[in-house]
Amino acid sequence: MVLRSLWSYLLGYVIIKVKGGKVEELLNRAARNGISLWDCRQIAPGFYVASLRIRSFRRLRHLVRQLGLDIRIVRRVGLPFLIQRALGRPGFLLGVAAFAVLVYLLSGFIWFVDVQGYESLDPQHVLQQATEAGLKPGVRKDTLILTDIEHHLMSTIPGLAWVGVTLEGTRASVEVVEKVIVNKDESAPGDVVASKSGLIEQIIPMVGIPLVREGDTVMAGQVLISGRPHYFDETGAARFAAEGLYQRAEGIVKARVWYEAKVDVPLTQVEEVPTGQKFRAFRITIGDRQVRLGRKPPQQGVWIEQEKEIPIVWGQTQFPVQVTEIEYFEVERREYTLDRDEAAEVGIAEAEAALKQQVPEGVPLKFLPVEIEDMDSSEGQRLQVLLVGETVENIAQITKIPQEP
Amino acid sequence: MFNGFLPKISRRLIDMMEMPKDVFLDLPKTTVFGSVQAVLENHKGVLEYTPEKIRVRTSLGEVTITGKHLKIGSIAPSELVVDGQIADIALAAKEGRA
Repeated sequence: MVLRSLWSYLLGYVIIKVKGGKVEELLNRAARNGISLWDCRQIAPGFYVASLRIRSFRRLRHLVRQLGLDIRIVRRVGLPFLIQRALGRPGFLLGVAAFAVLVYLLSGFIWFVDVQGYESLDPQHVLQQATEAGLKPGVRKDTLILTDIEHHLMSTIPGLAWVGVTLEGTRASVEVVEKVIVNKDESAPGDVVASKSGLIEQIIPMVGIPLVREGDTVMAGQVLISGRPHYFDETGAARFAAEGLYQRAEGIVKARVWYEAKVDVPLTQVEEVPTGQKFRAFRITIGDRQVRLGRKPPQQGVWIEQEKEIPIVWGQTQFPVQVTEIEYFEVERREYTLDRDEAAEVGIAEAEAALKQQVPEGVPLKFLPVEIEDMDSSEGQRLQVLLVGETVENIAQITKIPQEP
Repeated sequence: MFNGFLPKISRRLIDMMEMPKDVFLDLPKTTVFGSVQAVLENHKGVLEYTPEKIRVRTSLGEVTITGKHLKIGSIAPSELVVDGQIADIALAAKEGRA
């Protein structure tokens, strides 16, 4: 049925109105002559409508003339009539032609340039170099010589192992593969210096002359093991030479290092408790313009806002539209007072956490006895907690050779 | 062995030959879809058409379809489709025909 109505639409059909009594005879004659009618119904006694193909209509009218029925076309339906109507409107045809030409012309230009495969490289830099080579949105595709662009990118961007430019429709994509750059500094000559201040516990020089001994206090940045040229005199002591090869000093220097954290705990604390009231709003950013959807938080009460960006992507295309969801929570501020013990507990916990952040991972940390001091300030009573932590860790750090005159 | 085999084949052949009765004997075949559509094959013309009653001539006699809002969905030399609310389909067979 669907197929038939589609065919009817493509070939075109007419809806006719028949006036007269002998409609049965009309139906029979049409059927006998191979004219197919459909949707034939009575709309009022003596009036009928029916549909039939355009080509059959002339033959039907011939049959009807003998029967003395009045027959009239009510509507013309289908593609042939649409085309006929369109042909009668030069403006419309011109528009269709102009559109086709426009699409054809615009498809000859590059509209998007993107960079793929980068890791440490700045894609903006790649795009900038591509622009310099002539690859940018708005250029004609047939003026581009892809191998030239690739050569330009290879020669201007350091650290590229390979670059390929491909065109897909109106999109040019620059695929880069980066070189793995071996860090040359790892074998450069230099000294071992202290990364932190501390008390030397153990020093094991592997290459170079140690300048400090166990038990010495060193400052951050002080040279611990020198890679300067040296020789050993007859007593076996090391002496620096005026000339020779500057070595890369190496060694392990374990030192006792102290960390300090000072935390102020006001005895009067403010706590923010969510009341359960919350609502959402949205912000749409297009270029420099911003549109806000949703209401603003009311004046009364304390509201905390949390922003979350909703990514709008379609495949790999990122639209220049940014949608941000803003969630508002109402909180109630409650004041409460800590006694001295509670405040000390809070302070110690905070100080411990602060110390742990400073210490490198995996190094055991020992806390020294805590010092607690009462203080009075304009903002009320507070407790000052001073906590010192101690570690034994490797403070050896290799620096590059100092540029000697 | 052949005694059992041959009658089986002939029965099958007869079954197959009997299949298109409407074509060989030019008998009317009426297919009804629920109460909304009836398809009459091998009709011999429409005798009467009103939205309440459609009478169709067939080789057997007259087929009368009664109902409401009846219309001729399509008409072709061999097939007639009636759409609408079909209430009753009756066959008034002529004497002496199968």
